[in-house]
This record gives sequence, structure tokens and C-alpha cells, in this order.
Amino acid sequence: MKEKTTKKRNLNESLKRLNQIVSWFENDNELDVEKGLELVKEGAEIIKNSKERLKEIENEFTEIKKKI
Amino acid sequence: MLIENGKSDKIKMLSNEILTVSKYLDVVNAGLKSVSAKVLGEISGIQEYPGRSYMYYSVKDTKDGSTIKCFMWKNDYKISGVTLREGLEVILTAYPAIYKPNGGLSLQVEQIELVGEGALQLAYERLKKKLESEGLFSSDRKRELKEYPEKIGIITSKSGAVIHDFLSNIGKFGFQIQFVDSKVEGQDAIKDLLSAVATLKKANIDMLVIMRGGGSLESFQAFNNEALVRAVAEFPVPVITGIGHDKDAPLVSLVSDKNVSTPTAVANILNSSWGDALAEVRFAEEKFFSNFQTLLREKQFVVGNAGAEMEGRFNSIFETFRKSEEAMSQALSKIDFVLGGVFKTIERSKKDIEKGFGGLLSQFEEQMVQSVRFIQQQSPEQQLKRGYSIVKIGKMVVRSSKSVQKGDDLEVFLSDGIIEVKAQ
Repeated sequence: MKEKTTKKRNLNESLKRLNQIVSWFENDNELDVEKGLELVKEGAEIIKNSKERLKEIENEFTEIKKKI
Repeated sequence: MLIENGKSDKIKMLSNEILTVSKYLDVVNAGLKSVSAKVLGEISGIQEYPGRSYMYYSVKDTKDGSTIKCFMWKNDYKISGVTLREGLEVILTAYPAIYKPNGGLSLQVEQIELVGEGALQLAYERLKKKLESEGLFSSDRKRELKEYPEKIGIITSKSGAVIHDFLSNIGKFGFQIQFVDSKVEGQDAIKDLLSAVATLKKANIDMLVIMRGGGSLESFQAFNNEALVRAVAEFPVPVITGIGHDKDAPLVSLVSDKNVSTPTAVANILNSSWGDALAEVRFAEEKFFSNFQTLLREKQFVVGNAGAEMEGRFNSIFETFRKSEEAMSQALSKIDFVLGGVFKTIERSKKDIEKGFGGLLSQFEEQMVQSVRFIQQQSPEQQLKRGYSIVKIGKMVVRSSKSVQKGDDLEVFLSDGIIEVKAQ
């Protein structure tokens, strides 16, 4: 279920989530290893999907006729 | 065509069919549409007919006074962005038509343009001031561009270098580009641009891009058009303009959410966030993996420390226990020792008591024996055996001669018998 949610996320949301994960590691003084592992797993999935999205992808070009 | 090759004086019948006036005028008007032209003249006799959808005015040749009546839809007038006044010199884009109810010929005006750089400049300044006072160019109105745009609507000319430059510079990030070809030069472009904007208004896009290359103020007229400016201001998603200009910024570029001057710059704006995103992903990846490693190391250290701590504590407990055991053992030995001493003392005391008591008994016994012996020795019988005798008068022992009188019967007790005598 979680994986699906991650895949559905757009890049903007993914980057926000990654930043949240980074902040969690940087700001929380009492870090929980279990929680950290969970976040690393989630982050790894987001990174994988984000990199996939940021690969070179050909643009689609469509010409639309004007509707008068 | 009524006139073949435009020069021929040979009139050609359309057909042998007999037409009604109405039908004939329809055919003529259809033909007249093809002689659309740009007509230069001076405005006169403006009739606006408030509340109606059309208006009339005349256009007059300034040299010889030739005049023709003009018909214009108010919507087209509005779109043209020119405010008509008596004597204003204009160029009308129009075609002739015969008004069927009275057979009068008039020009059907589609577009009005101002003539001359000065007039254009003046109109530009006026409109700019008006729109500015409405707050249309205010920075508060500018919308944030979508951070990672994917669906881009583009309006520009298909034939210009602009679209080529844009497509050469846009990164391959999977953009879905919906392109609408439009005229971008001169007053003619207004309707085209408005139509293109209206088309993309209904499309599913993240942002709209309107581009064209540089040119004179006159060639930019469409981009200073009030209707177009308002259409851009009201566009549902952010608009980027890439309209090159020399001096005065076209009003459309002032109202757009982001304005740059070249198609390459527009492409760079669209590319930038995607390029940054990749760097951001890599940074985040490095950051939290390293942070997690640090966390793990810290926890391992804590666990290791806890182990050592526990071991130390256990050892300390064992040590205490060992010491207690040793102390207990020593205490027990001591107690044992003390008890041994106590037992010995008791034993000794017992012996002493026994010994002392025994001695005492013997002594007592001896004393008893001696006492018995003494008593025996001191007994009258013993005394009698030694030769002593006891004299009694009756039952009374005579201890003095004075207690004896003459004639008393005395009994002399000897060890082996009694002698009865009479005192004399």
C-alpha cells in the first residue's frame, strides 16, 4: 500500500518528503533506529522513483488547432 | 470571381440561372469578401448606438475626401484596442459588403490600427497608465510558477525561429507540450492570439508560454492590445512571456507572471527546477543515508556501552556478593571460633565446677569424717572408755561435788557398766 502511494507521488511531493526525511535525521535529538530504518526504506523508494522520473524522457509535442 | 485575372474586361456570367435580388446579393457579398484590404483614412461620423452590438462610422481619404461608410461589430472594436475619435487617422482591415435592405455598400471592418509611431506610442502610454491604475501589473498579482511543470501550453508562430530556439533548448524532462500556432506580428495577430489563448484556456496545462521575437513598436501592436492583456491577466494558470523588444516592454509581458526576452530564457526557466530536482534528490540521498549510518553507529556504541556497563554492573554485583560471601565465611569462622571458645570455656567451667565441686565434696566428706571422728572421740562412751566416768544423781549429771550431799545415791557410769554408790 505504502509503495503504491510513493509511486503515485509527483516529483514535487517526493522532494518535499525527502526534505522532511532529511530534516527528521537532522533535527530529532532522540532518534529512533526503527523509525529511521523505516524512513530510509521510504526514502530509498522515493529516490528510486524520482531518479526514474528525472531520467532523460523525450518530450511530447502536440499541435492544437485553434477553436474559433 | 466576377473579373478574371483582375484585369480582364470580359464579363463572365456566373451562370444562366435567374437569381432573386437577395440571392444575387448573397453571391456578390461572398465575392466581395475576397477583396479584403487595409484601407488608410480618417474617421468621421461615429455612431456608437449604445446598447447595440454594432456601430457605424465613415472613413475618408484625407487627400480627395473619398468616403465610404463602415460597419463594425462592437466586439471587434473592443478587441482592436483603439479608441476612435473624429479625425483620427487609422488603417482599417476590412472587406466590402452590400447591405441588403437598402443596397448600400459599406466596409465591414474587422480591425483598426493606429497610424504612425507617435500615435502608437501615445496609445501605448495611455493604455499602460490605465491598466497600471487597475493594478494589473502589480507584483502582488504575479503567481508562482509550478515548481515542476510538465504540461506546457505554447503560443507562437509555427514558422518563426522562436519555436525552433525553444525546442532546441528545452530539456528532455518529459514535457507534454501543447502548441498553438498563431500570428504574432502586427494588428492582425490580435484575433489569432486571443483565439489561441481561448483554446489553451480549456486545455489541461500547468503553464502558458507566449513567445515572439523582437521587432518595432508597430509590429508589437498585438501584444499591447487591451483585450489580450486582460485575457493573459485572467488566464487560469501562470503565464510566461518571452517577447523580445527594444525599448518599451509590451503590455502583455508586463501583465504576465514571469517575463523574459528570449525563447531560450523561457526554456531555461522550465528546465531549471528539473535540473535542481536531480541535485536535490542526490543530496537528500547522501544526506539521510549518511545520517542513518551515523545513527546506527551511535546506537551500536550505545548498545556496546550498555553491554560493558551491564557487565561492569554484574561484575560489581558478583564482587559484592563474593565479598559478602567471604565476609560471611569469615564471620562464620569467627563465630565458630568464638563458639568453640565458648564451648571450651563451658567445658572447662564444667570441669572446673566438677573439679571444684568434687574437691568441696571430698573436703566436706573429710571434714565430716573428721567431725564424726571428733564427735566419736568426744562422745561420752569414748570418754568412758578412756577411764572417765559420769556421775548422776537420778537423771542429773553431777558436775560439781557441791551438788552432792551425803547419803545421795549416786550412779557411776563406766564404759562397761554402772556402779551404784552412796555419797559420804
